[in-house]
Amino acid sequence: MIKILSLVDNFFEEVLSTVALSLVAGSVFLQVIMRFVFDSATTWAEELAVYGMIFAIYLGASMAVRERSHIRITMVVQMLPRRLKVACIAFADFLWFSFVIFLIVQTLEYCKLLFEVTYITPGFGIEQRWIQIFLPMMLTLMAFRIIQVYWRWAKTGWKGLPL
Amino acid sequence: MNGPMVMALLFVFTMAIGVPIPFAAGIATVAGIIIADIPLTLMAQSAWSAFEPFPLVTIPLFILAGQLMEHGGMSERLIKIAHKLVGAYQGGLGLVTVVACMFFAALSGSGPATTAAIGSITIPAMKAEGYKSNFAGAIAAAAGALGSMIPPSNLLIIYALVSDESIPRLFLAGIVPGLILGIMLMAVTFIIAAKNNYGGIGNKFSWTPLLEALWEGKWAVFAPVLILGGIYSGIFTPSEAAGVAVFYGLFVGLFIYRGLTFKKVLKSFKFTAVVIGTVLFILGSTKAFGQLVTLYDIPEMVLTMFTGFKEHPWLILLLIGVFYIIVGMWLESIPQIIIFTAVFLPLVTSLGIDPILFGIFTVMTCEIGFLTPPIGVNLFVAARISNVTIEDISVGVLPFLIPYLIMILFLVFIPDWVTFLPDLVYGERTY
Repeated sequence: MIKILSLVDNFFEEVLSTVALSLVAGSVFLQVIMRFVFDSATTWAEELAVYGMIFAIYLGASMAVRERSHIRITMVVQMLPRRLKVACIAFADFLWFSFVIFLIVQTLEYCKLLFEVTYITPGFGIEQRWIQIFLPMMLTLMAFRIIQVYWRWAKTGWKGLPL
Repeated sequence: MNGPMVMALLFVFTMAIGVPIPFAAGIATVAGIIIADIPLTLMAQSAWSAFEPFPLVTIPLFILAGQLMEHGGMSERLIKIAHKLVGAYQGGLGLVTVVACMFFAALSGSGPATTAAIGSITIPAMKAEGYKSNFAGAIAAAAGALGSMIPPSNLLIIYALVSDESIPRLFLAGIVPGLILGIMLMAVTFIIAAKNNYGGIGNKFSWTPLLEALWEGKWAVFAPVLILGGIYSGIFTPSEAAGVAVFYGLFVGLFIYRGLTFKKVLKSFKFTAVVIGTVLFILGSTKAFGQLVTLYDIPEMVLTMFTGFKEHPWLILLLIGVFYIIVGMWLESIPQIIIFTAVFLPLVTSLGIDPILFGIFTVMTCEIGFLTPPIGVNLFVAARISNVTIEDISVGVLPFLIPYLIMILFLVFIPDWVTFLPDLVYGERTY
């Protein structure tokens, strides 16, 4: 059980974002093939590519949290004494975390709106809400990854910086 | 309360304490929205709709294609061709690096990726030849920045999306400045090599070995032909060309050069996801930002600020250039282009400066940002490969900034030649 959990932990975003990016590349390529070979245009291929990209971006952002590879400017922070350094980073992460929570709340709010109106996507002809509902979910994953970084940092006995 | 002021201060403050850049921009935008008293769901809406323009998919596809081509063995072939072309001259390996970067730039849209693809092979080779480490790294960093100027270019795509200009037109405009820059970088390499007495390698230039290398690398040489030729002959849109490039890279890497393994393919996908997750993510928070910029009439404010200089467009362009370079030292290029194009483009066009020229100018200043500390992505990549500190390589790269500065002065004072090629192909622009 723990093994499965750690596999999921290590590869969840990797697998999903790879699938999403393959969809992007595949559908754009398919569009070219369709035009040349069958002389017909697809309306849904562009849409699929865009959705694939949006998923890959949010999953990639969440993966980058886990690996601490988001781009930050640490020059000022690095000059501070250790206590202040930790406080500064923790405060920055707190702001970041709050912003993600804020986005989750707002996207949920927006999804609620989408549930009240009909907004059919032009390509697939499905309700926009069934796709956009994933946005708060992926953001939640990101918030979870931020907490996870701190949890792991605590396990090392607060050594180094949570960077 | 003064909205733009609060936003700017909050942005700088949150960045300085270490909030990652896209989120710092997001926090500043939220403050702006609250002050302007707009519904906050605007943020949620733009977190989705900012990514809806289809041409945006070009960027992840070119990043992915570049990764696949690099790992698939194309960079080795391109370096081999460059060897036969310029290897025998003074500072041969340095010149090879520049030329190979120019080739790779024609199939990759990113500066840091070009530095990594070529530098990871040529930097160790240069060090083995007795080049100083920081010089070896500096060449790869400076020449790699061409990746963002010689088409395809991710930065030009972003600029095209923000400014509503045509991507193929901008790509065409980037070719000549990119080539001239390459030649100037070679000149700097040559001079420094002559001073330190770094010799050439291999035999004197002759056609037969070059043609052999070209034949051996034909699949790599064909990639830019396919990508750029496809775009300009009107067969593909830029996005489609990027999609084709991914499959071409995959095909050549798996079946012809056989550098790709399943693991490397997965690594390329993961790399692409992380890059777009950390860099493109900012679009989600800055789309609302762009709307705020218009709402607060910031371009109007900038316009009045500069009315005194209206007679001298070159002075304004120069001032913007200095500002961009300073900002570029701190900010990633994509956020920089997104945020400041919205602010400055109206001013610049009102002075009669061509938006295409301004795009090339913007990207050129961003490239200097790639090459200057503290946030110089190309420097990071090259420093890691050549095993020197950022400080060390920042000093080494200084002479290579001269060509970039000269190019910026060219763009400011004699701008007409930049739009010559696109005008020739697509006809004069009509406003």
